[in-house]
Amino acid sequence: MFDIQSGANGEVLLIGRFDAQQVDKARDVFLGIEQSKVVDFARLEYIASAGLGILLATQKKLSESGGALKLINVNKHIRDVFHFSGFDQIFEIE
Amino acid sequence: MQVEVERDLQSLSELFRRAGEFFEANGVGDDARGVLEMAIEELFTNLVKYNQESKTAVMMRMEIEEDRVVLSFTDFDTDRFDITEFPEVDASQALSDRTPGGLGIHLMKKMSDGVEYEYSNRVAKTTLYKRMN
Repeated sequence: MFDIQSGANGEVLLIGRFDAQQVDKARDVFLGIEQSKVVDFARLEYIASAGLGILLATQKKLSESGGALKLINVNKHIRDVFHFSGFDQIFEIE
Repeated sequence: MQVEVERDLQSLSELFRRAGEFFEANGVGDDARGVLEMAIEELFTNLVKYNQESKTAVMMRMEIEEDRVVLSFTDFDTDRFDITEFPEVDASQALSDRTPGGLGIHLMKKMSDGVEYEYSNRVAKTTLYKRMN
C-alpha cells in the first residue's frame, strides 16, 4: 500500500511502501510541486531508488527558482539510504 | 526459502510477501530488512528492465548462513549483466550535477556486506550478503 496525502499545514505525507510500482503515482504529485514544501516521512516504511529519483528531480526543479524540499521524520534506515546516496548534502533533513 | 516468479514488476508484491515471512521466521533485524528489501527490488527490476525478451521465470532464494542472510536471484536465460562491474556513483556531487539513476546498485553495494555475480551458459546468479542484526 502506498498513498500520498496533504497534511494540515500543506506538507506532503508519504504513507506506506514507495516501491517501483508506485513511481507513476508519485511522479504526478511531485511534478505538481511549484514551491518549497515539507515532505513528512513519518509513515513511510520503505523507499526504492526510483523514489529517490523523483525526490532528486523535484529538488533540482525547485532549486532553479530558489525553492527546496525539506524532509522530516525520516526513520533510521531511510536516513542511512540518504547518507549513502549523498542526499543528506542536497536536502535539508530534520 | 525459494520462490520463482514471472518476469513482471507485478511480481514484486509476491517477492516482498515471501521475504517478509522469511524475516519474521528468522528474526531478521529492521536495518537488515530495509537493505534486503531494497536489494530485492533493485535486483528484480533490473532483471525485468534489461531482459524483456525472455519469458522464463526468475528465481529468488534466501537462506541464513551463520549470522547473515544470503539473498540470490537467478535468471535462466540472459545476457551477462554484472552489477559488481558497474562504475562507482559519485554521491558527493552537487545537486546541479546530479542525474537520477544508478543509485539503486550503488546503495546495494554500500549498504550490504558483499555482492557476487556468476554467469555461465546464459544463467546469471547475483548474490548479496547482509548481516542479520
